[in-house]
Amino acid sequence: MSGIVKNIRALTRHSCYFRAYSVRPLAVTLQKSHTVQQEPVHQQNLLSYTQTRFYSPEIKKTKPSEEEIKERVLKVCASYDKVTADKRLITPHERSYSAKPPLTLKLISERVLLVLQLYDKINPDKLNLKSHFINDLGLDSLDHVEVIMAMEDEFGFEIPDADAERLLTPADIVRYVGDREDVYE
Amino acid sequence: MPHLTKPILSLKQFILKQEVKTLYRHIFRAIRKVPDPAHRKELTEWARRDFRANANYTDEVTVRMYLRYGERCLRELETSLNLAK
Repeated sequence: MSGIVKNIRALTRHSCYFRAYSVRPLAVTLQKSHTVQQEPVHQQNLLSYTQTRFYSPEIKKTKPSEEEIKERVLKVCASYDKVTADKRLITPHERSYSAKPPLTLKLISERVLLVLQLYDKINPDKLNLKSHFINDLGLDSLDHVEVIMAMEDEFGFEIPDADAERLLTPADIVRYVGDREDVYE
Repeated sequence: MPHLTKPILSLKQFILKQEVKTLYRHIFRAIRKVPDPAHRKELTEWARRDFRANANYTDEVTVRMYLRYGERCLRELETSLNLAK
């Protein structure tokens, strides 16, 4: 590890040396550094004169010439499209809020039955609103938990454990969702 | 009146069962947060299989041992989810 550090230090020292001798003047060197270029000096003195920063070549960009700048500005101005800019600046008169679809008890029961039909452990023939999950449909308590979680996913709100215990038929679930979503008929 | 298909549990057994169910629920809620759907499916299959394979024990000590294992898995899942965010 220390060997690597030494090498890196040597490298930076050498690169600093190199920079001080390069033809292109560096913007960040101090005023004194031009005296350094005349004669070779000891490395320690070099470091004290030149407070050059050691950038890697990719980071240090070349400054664009005036011609280049002119070209680029003209290009941006030419591509300005007034029509789309106007459309963007004018505030839209219609506001878009997110909303849930309007729920009726019929719609809720359809959705509940659909989710249950898609559940692989339920036999769709035996499925109706009054069928008990555990007694009639033969699910066990873990399946019941999964079914309730599927309902949470479908209707988008969380059902606490205490309530989930009591929802043992699809009709219960429909009534519960209706109560939660304030659906009266 | 629905006929009883399952035996009435003692209080201890009932509480144990509730703990298992809450663990199951927590695991599924954590799995929901996983971003990749294929990975989510795999995790749900693994959870279901593990829970059902060990579902038959009635001995309290064994059940508690598996509960602790499940809680540890849940904690690992949640830490990796936090890291992935």
